[in-house]
Amino acid sequence: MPLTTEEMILNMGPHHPSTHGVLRFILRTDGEVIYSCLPDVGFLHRGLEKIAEKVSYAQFMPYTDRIDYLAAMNCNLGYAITVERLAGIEVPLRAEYIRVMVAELNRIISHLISVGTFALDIGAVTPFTHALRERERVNDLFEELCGARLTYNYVRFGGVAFDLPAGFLEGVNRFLDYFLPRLTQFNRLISKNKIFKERLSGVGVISAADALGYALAGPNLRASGVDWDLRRDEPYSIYADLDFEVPVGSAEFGQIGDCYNRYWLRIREMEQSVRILRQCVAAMPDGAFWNRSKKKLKLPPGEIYVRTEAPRGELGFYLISRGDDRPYRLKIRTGSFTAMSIVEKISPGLMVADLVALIASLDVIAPEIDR
Amino acid sequence: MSPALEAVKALAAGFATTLKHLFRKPITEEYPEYKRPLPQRTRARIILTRDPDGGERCVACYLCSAVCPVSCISMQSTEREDGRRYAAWFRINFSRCIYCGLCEEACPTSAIQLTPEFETCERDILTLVYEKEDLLIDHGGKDKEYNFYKYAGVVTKEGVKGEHIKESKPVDVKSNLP
Repeated sequence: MPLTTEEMILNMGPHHPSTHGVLRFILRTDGEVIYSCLPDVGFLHRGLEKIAEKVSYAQFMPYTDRIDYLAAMNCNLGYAITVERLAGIEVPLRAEYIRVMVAELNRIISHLISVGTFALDIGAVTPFTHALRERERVNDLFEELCGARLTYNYVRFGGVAFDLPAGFLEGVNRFLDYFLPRLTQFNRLISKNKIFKERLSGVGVISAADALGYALAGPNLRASGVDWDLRRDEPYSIYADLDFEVPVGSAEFGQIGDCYNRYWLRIREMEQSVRILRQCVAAMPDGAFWNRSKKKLKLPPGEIYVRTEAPRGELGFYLISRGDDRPYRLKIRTGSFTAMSIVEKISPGLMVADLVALIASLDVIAPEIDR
Repeated sequence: MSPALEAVKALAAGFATTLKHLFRKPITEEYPEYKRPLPQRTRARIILTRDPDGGERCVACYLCSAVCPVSCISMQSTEREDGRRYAAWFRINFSRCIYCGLCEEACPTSAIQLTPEFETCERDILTLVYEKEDLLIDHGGKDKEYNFYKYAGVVTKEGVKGEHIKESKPVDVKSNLP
């Protein structure tokens, strides 16, 4: 006979260190076991889509930094590609290479935060400091490149804002040489740790059907065994010319689609990003970095949906233009928002502590959920 | 290997990594005591620069205030007797500014520039509204040599028509000589 006690409503958040921002969960629990979990989103809603209708196309670029501040380059890139495709703006080859390079650097540091805070959330503090130490190196590079450490505002329509400063490519190479051994060390420290693996394998399993049904994207989708990466399957920019693999979740340890798979997939993606970066640095062409137009940008009437692969999955911009200098409507589709909806489905039966691991493994980030 | 032994091994590997780091130089910087040099492109406090002769570069064209996504720049343009434009007053509200750098990009005279000076915290938010005298500094910033009126085809004391850099002499329309 199962032992049940009185049901309890537990508020997790909005200010809770494990919710990665201002995010609230309403839990119905029986002791430690969750009956239901309702994510309450919207605390960080800033109305970015409405702001987009009020400012010109170029002026919205700094706002895209704030969609996902851990991957601002990827958000810049997605928005720039959207406007360029509708306006028919040509991008010089050098700019394309620079863009992909900074996007992949940003993917590495975004995943570093993800795996670092994941370990932190389930009680291992040291890996977080290691992850942030590696991240600082890339932040320094970005600061040299565009003057900011977090909100880069670097990509422009038709190119990028600044050319690479002297010694930047050598700096990237130095970072890559430094980073790979550190990643191995990081794996020894935490990823291959028996206790860590046991804690996470089989927790919060998302099946491939569920992942597709809830429109998960990016690493969360791939960890469930769905082989889908926009960089390879719908290549934008110069990804078609680059050689890289798409890691997919495996049953090597635990089950496909569990928390450990999502964590391990990000580590493997960082290795692939290093591979892409090496190719970009080696093949960096000379030439113009910005096909700049002095005229105020007005887009032809029409609509377009462009999706790119951001660290948190598909980042889509749906843009409707009525021929003005500003969008009639801009809808932003982010990976974190859809990842949030699956918490309600997966969480019943989990322990409260497992919910923390589940949220951390989904790598949601509050401003991206709410925009 | 038994699970217990594996767990002990995992713990030992973790502690060994931590122990190694004990003997490394820390990467943290003691911030207020040590201020590391920032790259030239670092975007922080905005300044209004002067040309090499000490004149204000700003010609109050309103491009920076037009491009500013958060509308934190405001000014009033006026003209000197010799035809040179300048800002009667110029105001930046730094409590709104997001330091995106679009104003610097839009500026045709290289007047408005972002500097690496980032320590502009105040207890009273109204002290973050900077007037022209707070913004104007007496050097050329990143672009020391540039003087807009030596290039612009406007008659000022920098020169009359045809005397500016990269400017050809005015054509005499009444003459049929080439």
